[in-house]
Amino acid sequence: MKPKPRETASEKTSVPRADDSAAERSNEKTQAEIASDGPSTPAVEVDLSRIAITGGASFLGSLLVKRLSELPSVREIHLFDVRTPAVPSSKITFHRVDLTKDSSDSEIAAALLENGIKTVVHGALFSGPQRDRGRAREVESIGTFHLLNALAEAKVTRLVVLSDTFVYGALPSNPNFLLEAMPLRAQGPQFVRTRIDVEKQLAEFAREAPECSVCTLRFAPILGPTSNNVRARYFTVGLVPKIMGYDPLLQFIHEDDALRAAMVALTSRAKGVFNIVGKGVLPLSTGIHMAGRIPLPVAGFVCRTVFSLGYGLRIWDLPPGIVPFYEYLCVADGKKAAAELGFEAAYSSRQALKSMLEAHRLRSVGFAVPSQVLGEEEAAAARGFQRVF
Amino acid sequence: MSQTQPTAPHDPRSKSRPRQGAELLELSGAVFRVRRTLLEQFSRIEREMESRFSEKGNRFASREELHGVLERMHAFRGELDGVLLAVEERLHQTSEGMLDKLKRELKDELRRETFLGDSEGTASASNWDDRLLGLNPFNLRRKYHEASLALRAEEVDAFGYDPIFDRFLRPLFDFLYTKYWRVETYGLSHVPSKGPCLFVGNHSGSLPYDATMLKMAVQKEHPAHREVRFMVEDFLFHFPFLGSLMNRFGGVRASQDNAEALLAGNFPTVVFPEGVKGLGKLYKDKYHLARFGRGGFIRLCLRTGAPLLPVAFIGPEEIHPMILRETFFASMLGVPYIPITPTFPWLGPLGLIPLPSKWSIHIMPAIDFSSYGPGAEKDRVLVAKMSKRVKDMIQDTIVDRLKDRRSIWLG
Repeated sequence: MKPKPRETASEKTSVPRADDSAAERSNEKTQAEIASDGPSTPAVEVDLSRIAITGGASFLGSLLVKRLSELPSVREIHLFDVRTPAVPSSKITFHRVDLTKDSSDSEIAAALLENGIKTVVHGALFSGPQRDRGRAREVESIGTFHLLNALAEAKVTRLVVLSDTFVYGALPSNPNFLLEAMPLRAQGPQFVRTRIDVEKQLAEFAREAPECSVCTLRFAPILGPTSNNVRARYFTVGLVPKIMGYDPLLQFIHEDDALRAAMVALTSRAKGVFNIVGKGVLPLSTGIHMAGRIPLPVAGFVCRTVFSLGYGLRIWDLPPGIVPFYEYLCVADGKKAAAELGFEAAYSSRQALKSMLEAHRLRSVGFAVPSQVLGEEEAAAARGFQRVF
Repeated sequence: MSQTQPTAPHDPRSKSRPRQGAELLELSGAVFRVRRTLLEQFSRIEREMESRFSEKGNRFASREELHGVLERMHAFRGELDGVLLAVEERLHQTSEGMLDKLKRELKDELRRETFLGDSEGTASASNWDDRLLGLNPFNLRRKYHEASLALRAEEVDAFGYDPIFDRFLRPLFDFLYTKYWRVETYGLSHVPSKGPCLFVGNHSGSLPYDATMLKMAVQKEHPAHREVRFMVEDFLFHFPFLGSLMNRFGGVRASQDNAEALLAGNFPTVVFPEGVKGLGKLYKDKYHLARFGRGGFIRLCLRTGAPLLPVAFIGPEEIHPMILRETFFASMLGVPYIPITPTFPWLGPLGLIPLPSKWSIHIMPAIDFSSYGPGAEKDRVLVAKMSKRVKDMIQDTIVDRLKDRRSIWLG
């Protein structure tokens, strides 16, 4: 099976940019008019030849590193992480930096200045709650603090942050579609509060350092043939615990879409916060029945206890902090990304979940789905194997 | 049918049994062989890839190597296709004959059961197999998932509306609409056949039956058969089971953002500005409209330019006549109140059955807001005046219609 020749990122992203160029120009004009005495933003092309990535060993980070290392226009990729990269490539330079250490900002700044890097991707953020909550908090908020210090020192012009939609929190008062402009309320479980702290730092940095265009992407839970985050694991445990009487609408994004969105954000100059979400929604119970699992309804007032018990006893890997996300809505609106970034998801939430489930089924049957090799089409073709069994 | 007929096909059946068994054996053998080959090949590939992963510490040394593996897998798939094709061909050849036999056998079985009963006493092995298959736990589980998914639409609407579930519940609401409450709807001609519109009504009856009946009216009797969405109060929307049920039926949590999104999606939308105050009205206060919020619905219409249709509901006030609002235990349960009706806590779940009052729904002519320019929603005086006017229109209509009503139950 010969993998199809993939289009390069420049081809992919040139289309929306060509369409939006007029709108962008008018935007710039209005900005210049508003801030007539201030320095107008210089029209610098995004320099993709040298890129720095933090958290390159994370799920989306490693996908991005893999994609970037295939591009001919990228010459150097610098990774700042505590884990070695999963992708072997001669373009990659690995810097072992612990973002929680006080010396990390000067280390990163030195590496950025030395190599003349002007584009940075911040991916050292967790996709969900972690067992070691203290460390997660350190890595996310202190790590971002150190990174922003380094960026200010190295005069970086472009920062793309890979954040998540859980930053809005799953609150009973959420509207059906969360917009980027909605103020973030610091309530809910700790991983949400930590992420809100991170986003506040980023917003402050974007205000104080206008020479750096900060683009924050809030991804819906990423599902796909190779995803292994908490939201994916939820559908693969034997008995799926759910909150009795609640059936919220869920939203996902396929990993191919997520990667494409990150590439689009890297090559465009769009500033601000964007929701990166799949098309449509699906009810939680439909998802559980699609997965072929038995739902275990837990009454609302004991669910926190049950979830913490199951988590503490290592029965399942679903921390109690995730409970509100299976109780109330947390669905974001992706219209802004479509209008300003030119990104629209190709897969629906249902398709993303389905491709994750198919790959999981194939793996459980004994077929090793090569990690990060099979896409949606290949997984669909491989479904032929499943029927034989 | 004569009594001699069942005996005629009985003879060839007993002969065909061993032949058919041999065929099945052969078939299962072939399938087993394919399975074994598959497993062997898979494990070989897996071992190969695993050794690649573990030995060098890095995944694939180069792209070429990865392509090599993929190509080998592709070649293997070709082989497999060949084998499967042969099996399929053989199956095709044998199945023609077997199908006929099976059909004959089934007919036999039916005839025997209908005419002769179970007098033969020769329950064949295959018969028992079929019966046992129904008890197979794996099969039951699959059936459970299939049954649960049968009530769900493939793709729900962005707000969670599920057309298949709606169709499932329609007979019940049809019964309520035509037989139980004998709803009469007036002024359906005021409802536009396309584009958004906002219904504003008086709220009552503990549960949003009034919204569902308006939804039924527009769905059944309006020439365009439009889908109506309704706004549900927070405490009902987050009530266990009830909220998700109403969400699938077309209810959306009441909020300014959601209403705006619904109107932007060209849906006729029902709002009840009275909110919980209207739902929890005591029987002695019936048909006296509570405060109409802060005029959010007027601001919504001014912003979106959607026409506003005031609606007066007569009848839902009497379905759950609330004598008392219990708040002490309610605050412990986290709900605004527990209704005390002549039936509710005393008869248990039977008390939840609404009483059969006679209903009428009066839809008034649309108020057009499109003539107001942008920014009109910031005019507090205009919003307050319009809100007051809509409330008075509904109140006047209610008073008018109540004068003509002779009986609560017969109208």
